[in-house]
Amino acid sequence: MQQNEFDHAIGTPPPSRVDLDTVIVKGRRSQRLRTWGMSGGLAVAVLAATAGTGLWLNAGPAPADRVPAGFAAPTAGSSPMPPAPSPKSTPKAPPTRATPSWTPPPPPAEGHRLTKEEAAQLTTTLNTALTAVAPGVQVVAGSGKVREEQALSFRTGAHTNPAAIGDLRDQAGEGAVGFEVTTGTGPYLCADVAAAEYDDFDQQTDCVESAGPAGERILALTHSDPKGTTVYLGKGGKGFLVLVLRADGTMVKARAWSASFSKIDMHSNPQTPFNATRAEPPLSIAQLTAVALTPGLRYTP
Amino acid sequence: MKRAEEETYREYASARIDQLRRVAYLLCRDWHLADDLVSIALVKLYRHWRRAQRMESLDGYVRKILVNSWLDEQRRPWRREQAVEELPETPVLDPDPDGGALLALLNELPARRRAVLVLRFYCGLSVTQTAEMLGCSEGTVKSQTSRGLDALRPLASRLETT
Repeated sequence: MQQNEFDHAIGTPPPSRVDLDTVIVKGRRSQRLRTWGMSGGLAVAVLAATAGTGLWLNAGPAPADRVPAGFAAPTAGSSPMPPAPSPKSTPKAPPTRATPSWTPPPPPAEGHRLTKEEAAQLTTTLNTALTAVAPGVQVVAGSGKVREEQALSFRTGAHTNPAAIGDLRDQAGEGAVGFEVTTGTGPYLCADVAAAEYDDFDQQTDCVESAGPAGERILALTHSDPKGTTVYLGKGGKGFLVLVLRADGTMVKARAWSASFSKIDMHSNPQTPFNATRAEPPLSIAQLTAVALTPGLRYTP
Repeated sequence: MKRAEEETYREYASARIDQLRRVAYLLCRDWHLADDLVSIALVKLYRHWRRAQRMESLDGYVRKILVNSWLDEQRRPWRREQAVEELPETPVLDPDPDGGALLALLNELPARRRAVLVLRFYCGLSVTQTAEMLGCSEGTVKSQTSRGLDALRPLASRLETT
């Protein structure tokens, strides 16, 4: 039996229905969900360590000593949700091709397991920083699927880039956030980050580079989705990504979207109508940066 | 994935779609489902493209994704077909001169046996490669091949005499 006998039996195939553009859009989504550990859903939440902070983030001003260095603590008279700085109003530093001044450590080995203690420590650190930086914002869920999980929790298990994700709610509605701790294998430059993280063709991306109080390199990306064709944003949506690259090679990626994960989960098809659930992400770039600069928020396996 | 990598992926996928559709069609005998399977396989390939493009046998990897995707489909209750374990001794052949009889007979085979024949005789894989792709022993591949060929032998005889 030969291949040509099969080909003869098949004859002339009908026109293909395989749309490579749709395949690529789905592939991008699949890749991102995999990166964020959502494909398998969230496992057991690490809540014990957050008992002290409670299930709900407390409103009111935060103690100054809980605010990361370099950022002013919110005052009682300040708005609980300061508006995100507009990309147009933010001084835009042109992307530079500077060579990183440190040698990043190798990424964690595949299969390294985040221990229960490590996960609990990261969870406590993150939620404490979040409470300090964004008082009055309520953690609605650890993901769109596990609604009862009301803290941003790092999961135990095998990770190269542990992440805590969830939906936040304030007066403007619900939106998603995610905080990923990893080690720096790049990208380090605005152009690289835009290409690696937000390569959807219909997205508009803006990026600003700056330095942190301890010499950290900070990249702040604002991206929008005017047509509603990308995975995470929805029509008219907006997202922020802040990368904090430390001199020791550790990295924090903090993200916020103007749509909740539960809404994003429903947007499996790029053709599905999808509108953002709010005008701005639930955390501003300044707030994301403040959380990401928290000294204890680092992963060094 | 960076834009350059995506372009490489696009070039590779574009060049393989036709062949993958044919393999998928031989497995499932339904062009609509074949297109779905190819789409599923290509989405999975996209997800692992960085690692996959460094593989020695990328085509084999993609075929493995495709076959496994089809076998997964077969396991879903609402997709399950009525497979016939033992064929009648003298099957009734489709007299279609365009090869419909071969496809009809192929369709009568259980899923894994069909996959073995397609991989061995259409994709040209060895017993070892087929066993590795399907995650079974070489003995299983040999026995499945033998039984599959037994089922197809009447047709093969007819093809040889025409």
